Amino acid sequence: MLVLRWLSAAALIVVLSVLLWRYAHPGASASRGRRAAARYAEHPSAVIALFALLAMYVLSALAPWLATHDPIALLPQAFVNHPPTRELLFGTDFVGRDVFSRVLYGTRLSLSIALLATIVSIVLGTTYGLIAGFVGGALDTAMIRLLDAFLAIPRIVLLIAISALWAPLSVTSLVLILGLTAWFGTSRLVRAEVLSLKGRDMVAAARALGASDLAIVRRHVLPNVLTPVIVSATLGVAGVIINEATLSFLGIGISDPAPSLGNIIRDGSPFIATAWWVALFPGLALVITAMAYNLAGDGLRDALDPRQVDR
Amino acid sequence: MTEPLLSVQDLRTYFRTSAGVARAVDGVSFDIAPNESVGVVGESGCGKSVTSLSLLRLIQRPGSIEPGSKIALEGTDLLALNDEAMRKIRGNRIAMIFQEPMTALNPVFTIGVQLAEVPRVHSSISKRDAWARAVEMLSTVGIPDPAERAKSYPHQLSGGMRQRVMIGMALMLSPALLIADEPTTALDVTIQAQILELLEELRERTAMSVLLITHDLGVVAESTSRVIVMYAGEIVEQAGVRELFARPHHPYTEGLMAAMPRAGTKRERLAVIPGAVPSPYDWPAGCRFHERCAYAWERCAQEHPPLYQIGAGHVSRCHLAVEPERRNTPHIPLAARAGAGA
Amino acid sequence: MRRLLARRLLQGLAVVWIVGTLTFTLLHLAPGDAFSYHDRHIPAEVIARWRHIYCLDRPLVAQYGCYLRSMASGNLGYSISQQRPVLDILIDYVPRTLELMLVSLFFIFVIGIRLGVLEARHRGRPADWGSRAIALFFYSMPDFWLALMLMLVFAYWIPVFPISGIEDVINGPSFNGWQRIVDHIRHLVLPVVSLVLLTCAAVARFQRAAMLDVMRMEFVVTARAKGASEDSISTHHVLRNALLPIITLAGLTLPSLLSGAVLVELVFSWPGMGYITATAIGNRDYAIVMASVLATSVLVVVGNIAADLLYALADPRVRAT
Repeated sequence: MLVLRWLSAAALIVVLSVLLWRYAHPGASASRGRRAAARYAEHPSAVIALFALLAMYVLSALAPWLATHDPIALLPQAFVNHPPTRELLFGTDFVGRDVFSRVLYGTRLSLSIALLATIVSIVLGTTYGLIAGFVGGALDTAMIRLLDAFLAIPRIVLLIAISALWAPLSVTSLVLILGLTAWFGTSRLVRAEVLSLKGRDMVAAARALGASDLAIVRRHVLPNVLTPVIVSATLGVAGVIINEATLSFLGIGISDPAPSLGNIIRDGSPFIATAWWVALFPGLALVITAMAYNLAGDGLRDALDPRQVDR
Repeated sequence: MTEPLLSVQDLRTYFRTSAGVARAVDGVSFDIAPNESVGVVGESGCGKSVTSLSLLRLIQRPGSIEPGSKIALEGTDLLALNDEAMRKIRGNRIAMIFQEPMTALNPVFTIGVQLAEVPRVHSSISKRDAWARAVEMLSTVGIPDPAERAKSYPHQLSGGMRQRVMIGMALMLSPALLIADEPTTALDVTIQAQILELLEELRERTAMSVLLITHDLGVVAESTSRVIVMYAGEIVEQAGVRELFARPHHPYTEGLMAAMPRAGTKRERLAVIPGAVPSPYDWPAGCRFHERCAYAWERCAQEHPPLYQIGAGHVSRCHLAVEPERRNTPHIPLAARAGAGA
Repeated sequence: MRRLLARRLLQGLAVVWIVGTLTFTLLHLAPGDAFSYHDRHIPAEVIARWRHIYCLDRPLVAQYGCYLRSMASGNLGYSISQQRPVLDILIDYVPRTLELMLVSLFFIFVIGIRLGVLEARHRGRPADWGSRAIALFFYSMPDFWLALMLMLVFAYWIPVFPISGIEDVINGPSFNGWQRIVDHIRHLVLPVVSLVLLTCAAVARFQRAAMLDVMRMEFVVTARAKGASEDSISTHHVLRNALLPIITLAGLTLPSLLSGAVLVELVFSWPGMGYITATAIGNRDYAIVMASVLATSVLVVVGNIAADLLYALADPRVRAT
C-alpha cells in the first residue's frame, strides 16, 4: 500500500544517487565533464543540494502514486482547517482539502513550470546576448538600453502588469511569461562573454581563415558562453520558482483548484492565525527547493571554473 | 665576529594543498650582518620571494613555516613571538618593499596618509606630526614638491615615484633591515639605476642592512657586497660579490652568468640552461640541479650535496668541490637530450 | 563630474521613455481592449477622460504620441476603482513606500556590510559558514511567506507588534504626538524586518566576495608588512576598497527591493504603492498597474544615478574625470 510505494520511491532515489556519485568519482583518465563533476562533488553542501533536488523531483513526479489523498477532493465539514494528524500529515485547508497531497502535486507543478520557464529564458537570453555582442555598434547600444529598461522595472511589478492584462493565464502562457521576464541577466552575461571573446586572437584567426560568422559563433563563442550560462540558469531557477509562487499567491498565476505552492499559501493566509500549517508547509517546500538550487548553482560555478581560488 | 643582525637557520616553508606538499623553501640558512647589503638571486620558483615573506611571517594559508626553523633578529627568535609582538617588528625593525608599486599601494588613500600610517601604527604620534614626517620622508627620497605630492593618489604618480614612495614608507621608522623584493624589476632601466642609487645612499645614511632579492645579476653586481644563489628551495652558492663573479663554482651560477647578455663579447647565441625548474611538489632526488647540469655523474643523481666550503666566505652545494676533475668532462645535460620530457 | 551627471540623466530619460513605450505596447497588445467597457460598468465621464488622455479615436501612432505627452505632463490616467486621477493616488501612496524602502535600505546595508566583513575576516571558520547558511536560508524565501511567518510569530503568537496597517485605528485618534510616533514605528517594524532579512543576506554574500577579492590584492600584504593589525586591515584598508562595488550593488538591489515591497505591503496592509498595485489587479484597474510600472522604474533610475554619483565621489580614480 502507500508505505510500500514511498519505500520504493526512496529506493529509486538511493539508486539514482549512487549512480550520480559513481559518475562524479571517475578513474584517472576522465572526460572534462566527469572531472567537472568530481570538482562539484568536493563541496558537501552542493552534493546535499543535488540529492535534495533529485529527491524532490522524483517524489513530485510520482505524486499521483504517492499522494495520500486526492488533492482537489473535499473532505467532510469536520475536517475544514484541521491541524496535522497521522492521516492528514500537513492538515487541511479552509475548504477541507488535504494539504500534504496538495503540496506534493503543487511541488510537481511548480518545479516543472520553473524548469520550462528557465529553458525559455536561457534560449532568449543567449540569443539576445549573442546578437548584441556579436553585431555590436548601434544595434548593440539600442539593445543594451532596452535591456536597462527591462531591468529597471521591478520583476514582480512587470509580472503583475503582464499577467493582469492577460488574465486568466493558461499554464503555457504562464511558462512563457515567466521565461520572458527572466532572461535579462543571462543576456548580459552572454553579451559580456561575447565581447571579451571578440577581442581575442582566436576569433580574428578564425576570421582570417575564412570562417563564417555563424561558424565562429557555433565553434568558439557558444562553448565558452555555456559555462556562465549554466551557472546563471541554475541560480535563476530558484528565482523563477519564487516568481511563480508569488503570482499564484496574488491570484494571477495558477488558479484554484489546481494546487501550486503559491496558491496553497494564498488559501492559508486569511487563516494564518488559526490554521498556520496551510501556509507553513508549502513555504518550506519552496525554501528547500530554492536553497537547493542556489547551493547547486554555487557548486556548479566552482566546478566549471577551476580558476576560482578556494574561498 | 660581531653578532649577526639576522640569523636564519634551516628555514623551511611548506605549502600544503590538495595537490600535495610544495616545499617552497627547504632548509635555507644564512646570516646578515649589521650594515650589510646581501643579494639573493635565482629564477622564478626558486623560493626567494617565499623566503623573504617568511622572514616577516607574512606567509598565509595554506603555507606555513615548519617547526625546526629559526629566524633570529639580534638574538630574538621571531618564530617564537606571538602575533602582536611580531606585528610590532613589521615596518619597525624589519621593513619590506615589493615589486609592483602600483598594486602594492592602496589606490583609495593618498600617499601621505599611507606614509603617515607607519609611525601612527607603532606609536601614539599625532596625525599632524605623522603627516609632517611623511612629507619629510618624501623629500628624503627625492620627490619634488613633497607637501603637495603627499596629497596625491598612487595612480597619479609615475612608476619610479611610486617605488620611491614605497621605499620611503619602509624607512619611516629607520628599520635595522630592509627586505627589497625585486624592487626594480617593473621599472625602466634608467629609473632602475636611480632607485638603486637611492637605496644605497639611504642605506649608508642610516647604517641599515638590505636584503635585495632579484633575478637580475647585473643589479646584484652593482648594489650588494654578498650574494646568495638559490635554486629549488635551497641555497646553492654563497660568496662575496667579487669572488662570485670572478670564480663562480656551482654550475647553476655559471649558467646564470653565461646567460647574461654582455655587450662587448663576441657571441652568436645566448647560452641557455636547458630544462626547466622542477616542481616544488616533487624535488628530484640527489642534487636538484643534476638533470640540467653539464658535469653531472652518478653520484649527483643519488647523493644530495651539502654546502661545501670552497674558499673564505664561499660555499657551494656541488660535488665538484670534492671531485673537481669532473669539470674537465662536460657532457650534454639529461634535460637537453633528445627524448627528454618537455 | 558634471559630465557624468548629464550623461546619466540622459540615459535615465531614455530608459524611462522605453518603459513608457513598453506599457503602451502592453496595453495595446493585451487581448480584449484594456479600455473596453462592455463587460464592466464604467461611468461615462471616465470614458470621456480616457478618450481625452489616450486619444482613443485616433490612429495608433497618434495614440502613442498622445500617451507620451500625457505621461510627460503628469497625467497618468484615471483610476476606476478609486474614482480619481492616478497621479493623485501616487502622490498619496508613494511616500509610504519610500519610507519603507529608505528605512529598509539603511538597515540592509548597515547589517549586510558588517556581516560580509565578519564573514570575510573569519572565512572558512564556523562563524563564516554558519552565517552564510542562515543568510542562504533567508535569501531563498519568498517574500510574502517570510512576511506571513513573521506576522504569525510576532503578531499573533507573541503579540509584540501590530498585525497590519500603518497606525492603530482604534486608539490612534486619541494619541499625542509622541505616542503617535511610537505607534508608527511599531507598525513599521515587521514590514521592515521582512524586507531587511531577505535582502541583507544577498548584500552580505556580495560584500564577503568583494572583501575576499580585495584581500588578495598586493596592498594588503604591504599593509601587513607595515605592521598594521588584522582588524585595521579589514575595516580600514580592505573595506574602503570593497565598499565601492557595494555602492553599485545598492543601485542594483532597488528593483528587487521594490518587488519585495509589493508583497510585504500587501501582507501587512501597509498603504503604499505596492499595496495599491496588488489590489488593483482584482479591480482590473489597469491605469494604476501601468502607472506603477512607470513610477517604480523612475525610482530605480533615480536610485541608480544616485549610486553612480556616490561611486564617482568615493573612488579617487574616477573623481578626476
